[in-house]
Amino acid sequence: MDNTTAVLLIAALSIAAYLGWSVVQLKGQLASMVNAEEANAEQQRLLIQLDAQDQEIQALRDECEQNHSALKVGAIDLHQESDAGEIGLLERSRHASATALGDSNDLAGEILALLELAKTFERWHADMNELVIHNREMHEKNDEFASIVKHMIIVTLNASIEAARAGQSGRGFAVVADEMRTLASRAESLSDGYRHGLHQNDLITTTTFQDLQAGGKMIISSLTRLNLINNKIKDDLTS
Amino acid sequence: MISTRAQKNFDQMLTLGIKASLGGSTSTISEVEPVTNLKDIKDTHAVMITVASFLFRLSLIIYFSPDEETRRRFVGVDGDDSAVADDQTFFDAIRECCNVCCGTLNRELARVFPHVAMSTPNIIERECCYHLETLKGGHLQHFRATTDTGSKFYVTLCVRDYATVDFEWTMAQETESSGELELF
Repeated sequence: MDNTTAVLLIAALSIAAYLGWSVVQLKGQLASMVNAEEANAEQQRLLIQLDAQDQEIQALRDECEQNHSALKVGAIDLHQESDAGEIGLLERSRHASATALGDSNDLAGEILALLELAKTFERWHADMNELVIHNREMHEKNDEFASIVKHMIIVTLNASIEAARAGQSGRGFAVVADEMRTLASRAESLSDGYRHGLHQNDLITTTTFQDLQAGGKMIISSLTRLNLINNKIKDDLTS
Repeated sequence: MISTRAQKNFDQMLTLGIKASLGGSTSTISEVEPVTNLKDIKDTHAVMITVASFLFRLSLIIYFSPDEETRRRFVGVDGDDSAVADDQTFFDAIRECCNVCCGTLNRELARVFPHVAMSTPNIIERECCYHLETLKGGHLQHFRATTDTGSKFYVTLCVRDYATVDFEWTMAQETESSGELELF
């Protein structure tokens, strides 16, 4: 075999191999062409489904927009109503605060007026001192009266003795002296009773006026506390 | 009506007051005991003070005689005879002592009752106290306080109730502490 024949043989073999490979390729492409048809069919089906979904989405979008518009209108109405409610509430609150402040000021005035009660309590205390002084003067007068009565008793005793000395002629005088002594004894017992009464009066007077004085302090103290609370309320209302 | 517990509390509060006031600057109160008979009290004068509340009226009476020993104890001026002899100075000192005694009692009462207040003291004659029943007290008790130097003082507590009086009270820690401090 010469060289030319060998070359031709190799060329022929190459061509045959190429033709074989091309046949295989063509077979593959043919198979692919069958899948593409299916794919196209699937694509068509999907496109139809997609269109249907698009329409559905559009319908939902339309519905959403309608709802949104409706809600927007509702929100505007609600906002307007809410503003009106808040304004009303604020107005009422402002009015209530102004009224409460006015009442608090009135209360403060009343409390200050009541605190002037302290002057009344001082007046009562001064009256008590006058009463005590008056009682003391009555004690002194009663002591003097008791002293006179004691002296009278001694005098009547002396008179009785003198009447006894005078004998028959002094009988009438003795009766008078005895009567005088009886009267003096009664006066003495009255004076003692009066003295006890004055002491009892001192105790009742002192207790009563001390009670008034302490009660007065208690009331003033309560009013002062009330005033402090009221001032705090006023501060809270104005702040 | 004043409950037994309230009566006991009033008595204990007064005991605190007596210990805080009647010892003077030279002695301390070593004993406070109840006395049943007012006739035991021989003093010529008394100083009286009142604590008022919505529920009750409490009268406190401290008996004294304006003798030399008492004057020196309460005026507390050593060697200043003119001050000791001066009635006004002595009576002021007695009133102040009564104020301190009642102030202690009032402070304790204020821990229980929100509204209590005390009067200023007044001097009365001892004979006035024969008529204490006139005050219609629901609790009337006399006490004898003895100092560590042997001096004796008499005190009367008379509480008139206008409603049921019953309350719980315990001696405050600070009160006990201040009582202990006074012993020094």
